[in-house]
Amino acid sequence: MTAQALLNVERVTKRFGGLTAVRDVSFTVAEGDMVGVIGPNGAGKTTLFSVLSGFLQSDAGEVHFDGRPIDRLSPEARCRLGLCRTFQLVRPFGNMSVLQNVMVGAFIRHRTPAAARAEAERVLELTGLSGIASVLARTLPVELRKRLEVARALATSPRLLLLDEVFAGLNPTEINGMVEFLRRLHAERLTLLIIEHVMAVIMTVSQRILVLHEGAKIAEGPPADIARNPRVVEAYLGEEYLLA
Amino acid sequence: MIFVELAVAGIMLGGVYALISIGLTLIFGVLRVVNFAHGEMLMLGMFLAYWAYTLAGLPAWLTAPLSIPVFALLGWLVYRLVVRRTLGMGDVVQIFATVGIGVLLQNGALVLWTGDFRTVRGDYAEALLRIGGVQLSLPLLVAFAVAIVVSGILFLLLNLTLEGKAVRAVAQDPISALALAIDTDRVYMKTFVAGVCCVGLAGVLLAPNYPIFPAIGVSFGLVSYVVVVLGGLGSMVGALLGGFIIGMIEVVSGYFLATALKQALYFVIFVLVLLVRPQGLFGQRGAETMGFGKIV
Amino acid sequence: MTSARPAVLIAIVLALAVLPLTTSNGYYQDVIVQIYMWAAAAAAWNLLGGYAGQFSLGHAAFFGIGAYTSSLLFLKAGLTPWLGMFAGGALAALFALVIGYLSIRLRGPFFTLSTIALAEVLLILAVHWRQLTGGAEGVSLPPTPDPVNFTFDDRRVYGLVGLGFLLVTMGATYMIERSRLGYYLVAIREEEEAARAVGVPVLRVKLIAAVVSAFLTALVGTFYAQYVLWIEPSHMFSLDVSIQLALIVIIGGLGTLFGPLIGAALVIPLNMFLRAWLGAAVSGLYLVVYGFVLVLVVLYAREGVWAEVRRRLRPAGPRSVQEPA
Repeated sequence: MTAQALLNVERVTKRFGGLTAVRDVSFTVAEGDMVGVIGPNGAGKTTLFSVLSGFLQSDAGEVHFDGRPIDRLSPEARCRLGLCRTFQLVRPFGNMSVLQNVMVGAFIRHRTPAAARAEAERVLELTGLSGIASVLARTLPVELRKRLEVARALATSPRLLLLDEVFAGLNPTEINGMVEFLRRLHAERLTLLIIEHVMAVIMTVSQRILVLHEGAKIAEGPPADIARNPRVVEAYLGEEYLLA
Repeated sequence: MIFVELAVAGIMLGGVYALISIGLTLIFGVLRVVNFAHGEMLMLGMFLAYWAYTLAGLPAWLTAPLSIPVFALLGWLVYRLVVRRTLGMGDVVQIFATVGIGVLLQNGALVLWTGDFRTVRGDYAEALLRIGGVQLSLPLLVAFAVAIVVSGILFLLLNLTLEGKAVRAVAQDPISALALAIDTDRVYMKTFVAGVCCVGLAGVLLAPNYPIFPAIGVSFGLVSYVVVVLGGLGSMVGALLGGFIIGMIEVVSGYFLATALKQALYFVIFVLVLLVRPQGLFGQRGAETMGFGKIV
Repeated sequence: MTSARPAVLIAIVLALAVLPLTTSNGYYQDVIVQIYMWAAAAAAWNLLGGYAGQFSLGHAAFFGIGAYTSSLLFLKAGLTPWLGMFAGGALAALFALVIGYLSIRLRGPFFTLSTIALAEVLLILAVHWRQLTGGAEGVSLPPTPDPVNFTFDDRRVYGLVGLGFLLVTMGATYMIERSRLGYYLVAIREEEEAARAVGVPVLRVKLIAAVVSAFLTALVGTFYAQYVLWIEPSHMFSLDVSIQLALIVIIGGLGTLFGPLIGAALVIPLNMFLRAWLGAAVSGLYLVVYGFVLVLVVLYAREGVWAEVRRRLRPAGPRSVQEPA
């Protein structure tokens, strides 16, 4: 197993006027990892994702993907390299069908509509969405929209998938389904970086956890260590989510 | 000597542009609406001055204060009936609602008053002042002075009064403003009305200096957008400074370049500012995300 | 995406082909030709406006480039407009490429503003560059019927040729809809940021749409020149032309295959009726109506009159799952 870092984040900082949303954050993600990112509201998690995926320009620091510096690359260019993200507030292409949504993702590696359709159908099969392939995306309920969002990202054949709060708003059954689903993806050599608020899930699903608080990384390690880390507990005091 | 003349002409023209742009930057900066009918409202102000003079002998400086309630009503109607329904509705609606109004106003004027060029004459309109060695048109000087006074008043209102702060709050973050129990609809309405009053006033004051015909709003409208983008959204100072810069550029370049190239120059300035420094000289940060689109 | 079956499409094409032949009244023939012509130009506009979501109010620029290029090449170099048409198209495409590279990055209304400014520049250029364009008086083309040089005496022939142009632009739309470009265009229109996140090269896609749109619009510009046989800057490069294109597509349905045709079928007869009824004395009235209609449609029937009517007539269709909150 090579220790080659797929993603190398070095001292990334992002400011909005007077507010420092992400402060000097560094970490690496190796191929095949399943890393969780947690932190109280406003900790900078989504901002970090936006910087990593290219939607925001960092003010300091460097990000390397597969050995290459990607700081100047647009989101679409990063996606072509294999770094893809989903959104916290899901954004399906409402007036397209489920299949068509996924095809848009597939087109990045499959140039003709026929090839893209075939790939999209394969991904729908994998994600259990084949049954609703021709349904209009804007009529879908939240859980299916989230799965569609992931499926669409999958169709781009990513090497690293950034999932932003993919469990929010799901009921326990749906959560179990999604956890199983992510495990299967991970088993297929897909590297995952997951932002999550639902503690129970993130603890069971991740191999390693990063904790952000007020923009800075305050802890990193296996779930068990994180749960016992006094700084982490303190950061969450007052928050609803207490660590088990 | 020619430099002085050019400089003076540039400053005067700058004052014109500034006056026209104040209302636009207000509307633009707060509602984030690109009012494509801005030039047409200017045109209406000019016609108002013309008819006030032709029918009742009123000079432009007298018509000016009288125009305010007229344009307040117009602004209110346009806001209630149209603009309010375009907020947060995406590009098509935003763009074409005010485009439609502009087309309606311009051609309505054409139908009612024909395309003939009209001019306002009279003592006030033709008065000249001699300052230094240069002859200046009195109405233009008045317009210049009014531009500074109005932007000063608005600046004070926006920064010192509670109401003004509410307006700025809404401009920066409408959703948070709502959370603070600020009635954003009223703020939008008042701002829009104020903006329309400003541009109507501008039209009245400028009527003595320009030929008046329905299509005159078009080029003024376009230039005012360049001014506002250059000066920065929502900034009174920006409208003034932007106006002066564009005025100087126009006068100087008019000396050397053909008309078409002048227009092309504006286009280039417009695009460059938006690409390189979208908030302009004095605008607020976050202006890059302007273009309302859908509220998430 | 158009779901009409091929058989239906063929039937429609045949009906449109026969239509010009059904009347011998010159006025009605004119209406039909104008409907086809403006529908074709609107369909070209639709590619950039309806599909890519970039609303240009400067398309008159391409219309004018097409008209002037083919006409000047014919008058000065004897090149038949059938070929000159493509030169015009190429020029317009190049223009769109260069200018688009900058302006397409601008957000919605700002892009629109920049297109208005552009058309203004061209208008002024056309008026002042007299040696080339004949200035404000414009350029006339010889009225003698000459099929080789794209001039006919029978309006019905123009009708069929106009239909040809319409089929080209609608055909291009149809093919794009089904291609990767089409999927990308709809994705961008729906959720631009999400499209970028899954690798859609947004700028490139919009630029391609702009270039194709400009090319096709210029072609129709040549048709206009050959039909009216007189072009002048204030007609060709005017904002009114650009607004008419936008209005047609908005009324008919943005981003749909038949929108431009439906829109033209509604707007053009209205336009001609207004002009005939009130005469040249009240010029501009049709535009007052345009402005009024534009505001109404955009506020209350955003997806086009046709779609709105269908929605009112059809009871709530089956939805697979309830709408989320």
